[in-house]
Amino acid sequence: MRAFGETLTSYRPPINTRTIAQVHNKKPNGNKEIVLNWITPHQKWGIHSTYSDNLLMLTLARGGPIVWMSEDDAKAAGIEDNDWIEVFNVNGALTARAVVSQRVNPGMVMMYHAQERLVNVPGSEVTGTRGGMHNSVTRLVVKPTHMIGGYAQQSYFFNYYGTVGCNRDEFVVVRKMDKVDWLDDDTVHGVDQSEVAQ
Amino acid sequence: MSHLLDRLMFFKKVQGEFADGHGQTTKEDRSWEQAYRARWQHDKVVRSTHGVNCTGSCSWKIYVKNGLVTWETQQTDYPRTRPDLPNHEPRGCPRGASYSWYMYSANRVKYPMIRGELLKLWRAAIKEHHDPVKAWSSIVEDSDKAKSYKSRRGRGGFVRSTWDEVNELIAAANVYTAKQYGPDRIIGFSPIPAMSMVSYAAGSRYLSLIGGTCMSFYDFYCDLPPASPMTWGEQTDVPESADWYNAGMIMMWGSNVPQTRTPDAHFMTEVRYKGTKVVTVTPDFSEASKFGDLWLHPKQGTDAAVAMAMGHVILKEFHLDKPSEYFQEYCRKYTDMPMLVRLDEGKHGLVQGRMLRASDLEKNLGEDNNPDWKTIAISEQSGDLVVPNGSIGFRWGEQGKWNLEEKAAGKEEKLRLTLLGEHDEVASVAFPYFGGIEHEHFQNTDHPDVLTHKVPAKRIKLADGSEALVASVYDLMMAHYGIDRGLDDPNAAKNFDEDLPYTPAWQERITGVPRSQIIQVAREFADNAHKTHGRSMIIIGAAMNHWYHMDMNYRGVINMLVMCGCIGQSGGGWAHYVGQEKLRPQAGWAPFAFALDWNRPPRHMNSTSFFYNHSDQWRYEKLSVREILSPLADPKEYSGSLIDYNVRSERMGWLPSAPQLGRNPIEVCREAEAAGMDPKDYVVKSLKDGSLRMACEDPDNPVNFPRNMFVWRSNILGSSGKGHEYFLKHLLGTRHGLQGKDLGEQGGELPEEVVWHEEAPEGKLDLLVTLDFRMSSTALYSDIALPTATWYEKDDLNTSDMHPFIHPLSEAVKPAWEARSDWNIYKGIAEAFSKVAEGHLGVEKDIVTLPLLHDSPAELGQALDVQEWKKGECEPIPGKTMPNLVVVERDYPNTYKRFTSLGPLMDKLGNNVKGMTWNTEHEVENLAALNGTVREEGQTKGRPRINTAIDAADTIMMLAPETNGEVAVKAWEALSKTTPRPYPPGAAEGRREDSFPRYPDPAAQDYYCADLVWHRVGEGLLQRRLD
Repeated sequence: MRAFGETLTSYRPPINTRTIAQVHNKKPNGNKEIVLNWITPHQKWGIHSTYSDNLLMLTLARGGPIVWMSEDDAKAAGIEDNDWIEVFNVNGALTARAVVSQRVNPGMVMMYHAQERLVNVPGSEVTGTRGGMHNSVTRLVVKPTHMIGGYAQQSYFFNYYGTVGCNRDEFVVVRKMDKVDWLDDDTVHGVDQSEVAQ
Repeated sequence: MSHLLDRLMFFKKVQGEFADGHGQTTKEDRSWEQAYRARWQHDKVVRSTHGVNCTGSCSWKIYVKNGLVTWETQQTDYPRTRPDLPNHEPRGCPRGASYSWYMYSANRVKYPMIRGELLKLWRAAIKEHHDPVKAWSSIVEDSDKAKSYKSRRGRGGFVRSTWDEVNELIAAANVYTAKQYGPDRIIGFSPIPAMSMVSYAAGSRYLSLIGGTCMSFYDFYCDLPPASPMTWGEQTDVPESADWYNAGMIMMWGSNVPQTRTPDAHFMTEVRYKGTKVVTVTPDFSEASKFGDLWLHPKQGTDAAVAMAMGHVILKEFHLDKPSEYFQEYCRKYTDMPMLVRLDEGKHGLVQGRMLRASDLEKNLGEDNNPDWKTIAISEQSGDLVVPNGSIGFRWGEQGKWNLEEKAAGKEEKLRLTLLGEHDEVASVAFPYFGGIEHEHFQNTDHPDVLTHKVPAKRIKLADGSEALVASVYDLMMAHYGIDRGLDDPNAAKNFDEDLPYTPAWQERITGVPRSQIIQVAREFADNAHKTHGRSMIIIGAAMNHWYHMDMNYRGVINMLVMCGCIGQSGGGWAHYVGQEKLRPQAGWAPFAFALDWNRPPRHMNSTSFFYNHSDQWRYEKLSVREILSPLADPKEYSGSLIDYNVRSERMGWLPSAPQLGRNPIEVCREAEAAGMDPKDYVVKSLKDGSLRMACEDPDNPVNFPRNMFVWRSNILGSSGKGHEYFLKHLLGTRHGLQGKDLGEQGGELPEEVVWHEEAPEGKLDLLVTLDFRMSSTALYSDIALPTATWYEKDDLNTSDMHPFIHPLSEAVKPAWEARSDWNIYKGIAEAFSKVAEGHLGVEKDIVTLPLLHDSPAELGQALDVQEWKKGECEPIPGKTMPNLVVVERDYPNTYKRFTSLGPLMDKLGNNVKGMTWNTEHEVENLAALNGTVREEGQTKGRPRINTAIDAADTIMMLAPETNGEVAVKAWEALSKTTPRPYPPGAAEGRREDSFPRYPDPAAQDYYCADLVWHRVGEGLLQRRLD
């Protein structure tokens, strides 16, 4: 704890996850790419953290994955409400509709977690595969102070102490999608024909 | 008339008019309206709830017609809890009311489903080999065959199979894996037992019997606030939501109460009618914002700066300028603030060292038991150094002083909070400052990374004759927060407008919150706590806990509450809610869930490290340890990648391992026998001479892959799995969207402790089995999807930290199609496993590594300087400098028999929780009478039977203090021996020792259990912090 300067608490800025440079403006689709903080709060239209693929819940919202963004950022990237957007970094990519709202601060985007990749998810232009889910653009980064053990209160127990799966220091590239491809031609009866051909 | 005739006579249907032509009477068939009326008909109403990790844990009425669930509504019959509190009702939200849609929807998993490619391979292999284990090995040992089905994962092609067929396949995979690689290569991921504890236990009991690994979840989800164990040694002890109604002021800080705590939100709105002020802190205009009398919206991720600045205001106004007697007494009695810290000489001058210990002083200051683990303070009466009760050293090896009574060496002692005025000198102490670090997207300040503060210090004589400089935690904190105490500290702020860490003015640039709001809120927060003795509350949630430095956010907030004496007070304190982490009858559930009645210990693993290692996310690590070090530390001593730290931690027994050893633990025991050695000694010797390594040192070696994985009650690939695409690539070996390159491809700095394989493995898992009632993303990516019962089709139990009730899930209707309850599914797998194991696995010795566990004497590991056996700095001593080693005997062919009966260790060893042990013979007798005993011949004959989910629920409730009065009294007595605080008056009388609840009771009505026992943090459960 001393080596990491945390015997007393203080303010520490988010870490640099270095997930943008390798992909930013590397596979352009003609639309502007902006970089925003990736925030994944608890959802509104689903049963707790998991069940958002049910008809009643989908009907209350927009029937598929959505990402909230501020009016300022949307304007800067040429995105309008309900546009299909792509969110990506080195970890992966996802596709969703934009909800442009005054609710959100500039500089961040929010995606409610646990929107299934099963319903209304088009292909990603960056990866060429179907868009992912909110954790497609995250990666675990562990903190050494959480690995301390055998030291009084800092001792391991199941679900009590140990490394934790943080994810909010992550940044993503956001851009409007050029073509929305449902990859329908790609699969027949769940079997990917392009691969069969190969 | 019929509908057809109505249509034909459409133009003749009007029979007359009324109300001056505004109304018409028509003649037509109205029987179609019955469909709508019938929609709400029902034969019966059954109580159940939702097993979904929602802290609401609401009770529901399930309406059943002709064996089908037609709809659900909220129960309204919550028992009243206590005087002066609003009822818990209304609870339940529209989201929960949408659940029954799933039961008969198109995405219900109706039959056991298996990927077509795998089924073809399996049927052909069974035909050829007859023996299922040989059949399985012929598939997975052939890399082309293995790849052919692994690469199809998540891409369709499921076909219907039968229970017998899939159970045999799963059993074969498990037997093969245990025999070939070791049982610890069989992994189970299922979260949040509290949401359906029998269903969780079904899988964990099976895995624990065969030696598989149960994965953690609360920490992996980042719902665990590490700040809590760091501060209190407790997982998360928070009040239930009804306690909000006792608050005098509430801050909703990063917790969207109306949206995410919907059924509990009414306590917050109700208390506002009493005049309680509410301040909301969220970066976005969330639904909680509108409930705030004031809404602060700091930039996301900068909450710690807000908390530090509020702490600055509180310390200055309520500890320095006009000290609150209540606050100071609280800090003196219940916190480590009076404890002394050594000031060591470093390259920046004096820095904080470790806490002074009894062993530093002459004759251990009279403390010969664990003197390394006892902290020191100064007595206000005598001015002498004393060893106050309560530090961890008092917990083990002696009894009677592990409490927070104001005593030392048996004498009443008031501890000195500050050395100011009694100090020998004013020391210049260097503190690290991180707010100057530059970040492309976050504002930094231009203060230096090392700040020197003036701290009153005393010079004391040590046992070895040398002298040391010490300061109290309180004085160090005052200095760190930048409080000016007249010591000519250049870095202490003269007023709130000075731009010095951590003033209200300082935080403006970082957070964007006006200083006036910080001052106002902090002042009102502290003033309320002062007047009400701690009834200021902070409701807090995952929002702040999901940042890398979440512990800084949380500790900033916790400090505010501690400075104001709020923790442990009704209506005050921190109220952290992120899921049903509180399994109320834990002590009764754990022995059943982890098969402690048959063998101990179980294999547990922390999922974050596990998935970091095994989905190969470590291969892409770009954060260097040096970036996050204190500016006061020497970077040369902190080389290596993050995984190196995890490996060292596992080797020293700090964190658990999965898989554990670099070879099959059953084989290791055989080798030991052949060498004529005790397996434990053999492992120590082999690790030391390097002939055996721990699996964590080579996670990409095929012998260390996790081979089989069960997922139940979870959607890890559709929700919680951070680094989703890494899972797809490395664990599953299927199509993925990963864009980055690993360290090898990038030419980055490779880890030191881990073997680097140029080619990263893809498809480590041979078999992924998911139990779900719907085709979730995880089920879609699995090899086998097993249809499980919905929440209205099974018997189970559900508890939350938000209210004191135990809710049943009930089998309102039989599981539809071929679905089975989780309990019955694992029973089936256990039965198949026992058969398939014959001839492959018998009674086997299995060596288990066990980390230095919290709440056990092993938590006294290395007290002063950490030494690593691997570097030759010390000897490898199991349970001290390395994981403990325990040989467990498993009886594989008897797995099913053991699964379905309560084993003999409960009578022999009793039950054990949080370091307390009590006898359970009477409960075992009661269970035998209640559940009946096994009548079949064999080793389980005469044992209490656990055949059905209701038997299982009764086993849990019989063994738990919360649900069995007799056990509660025994548990209180056990705790009282250590502390030795008498148990609360009435605890024994209030419990009915002569009776215990059984499962049908909660099914009839909610069972009221917990009575805020978890909230009594101040009652001797608090342990003093070290470091």
